[in-house]
Amino acid sequence: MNTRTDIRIPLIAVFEIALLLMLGILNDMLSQFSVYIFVPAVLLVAPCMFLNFTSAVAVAFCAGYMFEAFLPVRDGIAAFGLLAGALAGLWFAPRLRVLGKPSVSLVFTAMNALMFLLCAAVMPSGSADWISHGERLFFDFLFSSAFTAAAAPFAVSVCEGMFMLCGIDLDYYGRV
Amino acid sequence: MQSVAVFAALLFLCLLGPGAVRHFTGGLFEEFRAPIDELPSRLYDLEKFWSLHSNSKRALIEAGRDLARLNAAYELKVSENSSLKDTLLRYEAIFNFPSHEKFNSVVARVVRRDLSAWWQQMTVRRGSLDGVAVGDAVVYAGGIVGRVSEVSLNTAVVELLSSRKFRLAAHFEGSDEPVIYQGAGALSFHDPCGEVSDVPSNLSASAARPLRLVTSSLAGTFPEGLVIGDVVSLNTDSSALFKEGKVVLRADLSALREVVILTKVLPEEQEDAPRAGSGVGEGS
Repeated sequence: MNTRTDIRIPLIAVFEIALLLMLGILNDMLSQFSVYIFVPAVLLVAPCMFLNFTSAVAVAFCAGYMFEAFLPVRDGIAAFGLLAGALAGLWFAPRLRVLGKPSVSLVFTAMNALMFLLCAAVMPSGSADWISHGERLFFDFLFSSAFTAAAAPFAVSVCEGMFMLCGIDLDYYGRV
Repeated sequence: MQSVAVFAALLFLCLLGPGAVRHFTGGLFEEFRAPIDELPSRLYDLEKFWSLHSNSKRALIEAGRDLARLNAAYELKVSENSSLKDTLLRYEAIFNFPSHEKFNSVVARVVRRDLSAWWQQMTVRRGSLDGVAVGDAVVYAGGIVGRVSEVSLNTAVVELLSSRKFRLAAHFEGSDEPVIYQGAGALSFHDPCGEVSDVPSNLSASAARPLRLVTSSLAGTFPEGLVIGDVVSLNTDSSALFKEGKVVLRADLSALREVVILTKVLPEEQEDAPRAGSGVGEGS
């Protein structure tokens, strides 16, 4: 294991904050159409794909806390779902790196679906009846999944581009 | 085996850690995220500034001329308003009426809206430093927006009118009988809506002849007579004594850029207000 400070960690942290900001803006824009995208898995793409297990856990935890700080939920109701999903993602991260970008899209979409369904199960309904709530959840789930499928490979490419611009050789740190 | 132990330990941490951390550092979280919340709004202001900056002198002169006309009209309204307020205060003094509840108005820019299946909220760029408190009413030109549910130093979270957690006493325009309004969320690609219950059975509504629902003085934090929405249908409820129906809210509720927060007037300010003659904002 490389003992030198991994410069990718602060870069990925900045990337995560920028991603959170963009998600906020996107949801703000989509609110006019009563659509909401719930995509915590997108925040796990960069740590999962580029960092070793310990660093990835630390960054994913911070990203998870930040993501949850944006949600109007209290006392860790969603934290279980989000961070359990985060751990599951990190657990399978080494396998992911062996596979290509199409698989990244597929795996992170499945992970996001898991987190969405966990949150849907534990969070109280915001609609008058269960039919309306179910319909709203279905569309939000559909859009969230589509966004994750599109954004996961994009996040990988952006990070690769960012590392290249900063002159970071990915092979130097090694793909764990 | 070691990996499984690490995984189990982390899962255990997931169960207990976030709740505990947020319990003790909730305020810190809010203050930490506030600048991130504000950033898109600040960028929008900057974008608007530069887009206006690129306008020609001619366009600016024309805009200035139009604004001057509007200002003149508003100045007239302000003086009329001030005169009416003075008259009202005199009558209150003569008849020894208890003064209407008064509010200070704080204009706030919307920085973020979250309208999901679970919550219907927006974040505004005013906080406790501006006198905003939990429970304050939030309104705009078209009626009610919601109620302040959380306050940090520079930002506040508003529970929207369409939120399931939003419930208040109301009445129909032209009728004094109180009814109950509650938010009902928003379906995808539909405008936000609400529902009304405990409606007297003699009332009826249709799309051609909708009933306008307005706030009641029983609502406490809201001034009387602000528009909530229109009721287009009423059906008999399960008790068969009252009616209930769907409330169509304003479509622009989910596209607002600026709102007004009605903050309570402190007792010392209320005492100063009649002497000053002005300074207290929107009255009921």
